[in-house]
Amino acid sequence: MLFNSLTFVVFFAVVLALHALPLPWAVKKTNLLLASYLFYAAWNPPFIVLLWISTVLDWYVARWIYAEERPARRRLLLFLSLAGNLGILGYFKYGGFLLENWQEVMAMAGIAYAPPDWSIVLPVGISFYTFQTMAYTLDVYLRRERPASSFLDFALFVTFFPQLVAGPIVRPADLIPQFATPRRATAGQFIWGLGLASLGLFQKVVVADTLLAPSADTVFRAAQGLHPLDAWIGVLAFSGQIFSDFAGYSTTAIGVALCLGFSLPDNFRFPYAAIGFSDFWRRWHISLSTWLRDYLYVPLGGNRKGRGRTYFNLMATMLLGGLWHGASWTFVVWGGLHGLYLAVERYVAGRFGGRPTATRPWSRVALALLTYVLVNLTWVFFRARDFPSAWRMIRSMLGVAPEAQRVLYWNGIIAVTVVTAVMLLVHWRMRETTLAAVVERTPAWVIGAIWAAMVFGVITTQGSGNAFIYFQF
Amino acid sequence: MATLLLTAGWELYWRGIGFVDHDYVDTPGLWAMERRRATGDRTILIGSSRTYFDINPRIWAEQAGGGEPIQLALVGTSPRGNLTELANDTTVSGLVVVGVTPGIFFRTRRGYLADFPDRAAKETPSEWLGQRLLMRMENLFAFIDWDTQLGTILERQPLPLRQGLILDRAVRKISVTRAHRHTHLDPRILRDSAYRQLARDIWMDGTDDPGRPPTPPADSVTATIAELSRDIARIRARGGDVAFVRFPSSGALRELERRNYPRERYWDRLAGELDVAAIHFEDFPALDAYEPPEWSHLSREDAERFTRALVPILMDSVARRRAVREGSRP
Repeated sequence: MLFNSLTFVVFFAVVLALHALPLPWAVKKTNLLLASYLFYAAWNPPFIVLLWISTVLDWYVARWIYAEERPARRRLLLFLSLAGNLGILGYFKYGGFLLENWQEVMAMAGIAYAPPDWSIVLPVGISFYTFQTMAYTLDVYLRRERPASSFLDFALFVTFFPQLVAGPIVRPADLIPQFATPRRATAGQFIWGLGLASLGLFQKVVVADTLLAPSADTVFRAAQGLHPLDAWIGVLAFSGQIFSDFAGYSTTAIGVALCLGFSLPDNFRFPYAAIGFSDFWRRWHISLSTWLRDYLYVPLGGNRKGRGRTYFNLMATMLLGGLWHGASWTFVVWGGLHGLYLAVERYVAGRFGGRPTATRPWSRVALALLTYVLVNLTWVFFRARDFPSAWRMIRSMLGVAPEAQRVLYWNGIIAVTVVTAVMLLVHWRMRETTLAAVVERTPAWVIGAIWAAMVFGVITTQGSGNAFIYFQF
Repeated sequence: MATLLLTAGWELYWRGIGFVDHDYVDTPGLWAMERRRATGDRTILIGSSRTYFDINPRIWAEQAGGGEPIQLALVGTSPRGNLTELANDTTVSGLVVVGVTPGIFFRTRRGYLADFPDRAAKETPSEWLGQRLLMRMENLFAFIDWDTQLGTILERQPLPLRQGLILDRAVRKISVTRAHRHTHLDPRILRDSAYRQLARDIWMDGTDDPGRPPTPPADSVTATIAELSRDIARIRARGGDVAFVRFPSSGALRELERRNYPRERYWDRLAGELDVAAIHFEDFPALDAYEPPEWSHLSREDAERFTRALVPILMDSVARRRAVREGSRP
């Protein structure tokens, strides 16, 4: 079920009420587990079986790995877990993509191959919970963590509804211990949690769905070259939309969990104020970027095996990160561009010594804006339906598209311009601080007025009912 | 407290304009609720907005006997896809009444609510419950409507047009929808002449746009009739039937329809080549006595009178067609 739905409001009210009852902690955890299954089944009940498979597989395999001393057997057990998790992910998410590409390879070889129909529904959030369970087994294999002592705690770790379908991708060490002892939000935590949930929903339904999505959709739906203003506004709109949509989900998830007394890690830290791309990836989808760093980049050798291998590792990590987002070559190119940016940044930093971070304020602003513009170019490939559409958009942005047309009305252009300007300003001002610190030093009546305005904004949009973009990943 | 005050003010503002509670937003979920009832020999109404506004299901039931017909019309959307979907559903064996608005019915694009049947078929448990909760909220609040959404309000701010763009305004709120999608024209259209004129102007938006898709050629009408014929045969094979109705229009919109969709090239071919009851309002004085206030849809009172006049004519035509078909069987 969607956070921005009446169904969730009722569901969450019931969950909070059950959590507040004077029941044994094990019963409360069981309630949370059942609620999480209900939350997931509200989309498509049969897919709950996939969650169970993932839970049972990694519960047993991690215990066997922990008890096993023989390296070959440990590797075999790890392979079993990875094959199970990645097999499910591959079947549902990449099966059609692989068949299409196989068909093209066959066609190049002159063989007419007709793949079977692959109209399989993608289980929502499968990439998120698959990575979360894989982190558990990998941590045990790498001897970073012991297996969970309670099946209930582990099942809840896999299924915990606030972050089940779109993250943050929580590490076992960050969440499983929280289930060990009774938890209930303090009044302060509860209010802070509700505030975060309100902020997240405002980002999603007001900023992403209402102010930005219409312009982004119009521009990326266009089948012809566009006037440069339209192309840029469309890309800026999507840039803001995907941040507001995804950060909105994460913020809501963190707020919802906090209302229940649980702490989830930050997933975004004002990424559009990033100065450079390594800085960007420390601020954007942090739980994924750190996952890729810890379970892919570092095991590949990271930066410990020479310059050439470092660049290869960077690129491989980002290409796979791109593919994680979707079964399409456009996502791979998106990841590849980020890999290229990171590699160039690393080269420049090495060439000139140290990090390429300027110290003068205007230089920092200029570098941040350059980072923002280059990130926007990558969003073209992320959002475009296919490569011809992406190239058409790039040409339109450069003002060289033939028969360029206008498709946006001033209403949309003004909305996107204002939101983008405000968003960049907020990210820049918040770059070196945190939301909690700012709230701490702001008068209570100002916070109250902003909070009321955000909730009123959500009410006036009447909830868009649109799914979060990242659910499809 | 501030949010409550703001929301209360918002509610009062929209009530002052004429919005009312118990007026349901037409969503895939609301449509799905009716679609699930459309089984057996129930009469089913499909079409675009005129079928939605111009038939009063309560009066229909009084006139025809039996229960109220199921309202499955979709505004701005050709019913051809709906007819095919009903023809494919072996549980449907009643009379299907198809409203024909030429500019929507014959075009190749299905229309902007064409995804409703598919979304209804794929409704998740969460959406199922959400629709019922939404209706509870709509019973309390008048401001829940497409027209009052923040996005709609921003989109409608009058700003200069950019070069190369045409004025293409979305249709304003002109309906009130009650339980079971029983819908009538918003009384504001009758009492507010400026709003009525705005509604008329919006119907004409873009009609002089050179980029507007041309009217469908004759061969596409032939293909449409063949498609309809297949669907009708499948429904009849289960004991059901299909009838077509052309509802009234007026003013410049009627002139536009006459110009772009001449009766002899579209309606007359459909009525002549399909062996069905086909009622055109111009052919019956009792049906040609109405003036849609905003040129396209009847007022609530006229819809009641129109339904009262339509049902006997339609039922008689359906019965006579059936008798001829059955009498002609060897």
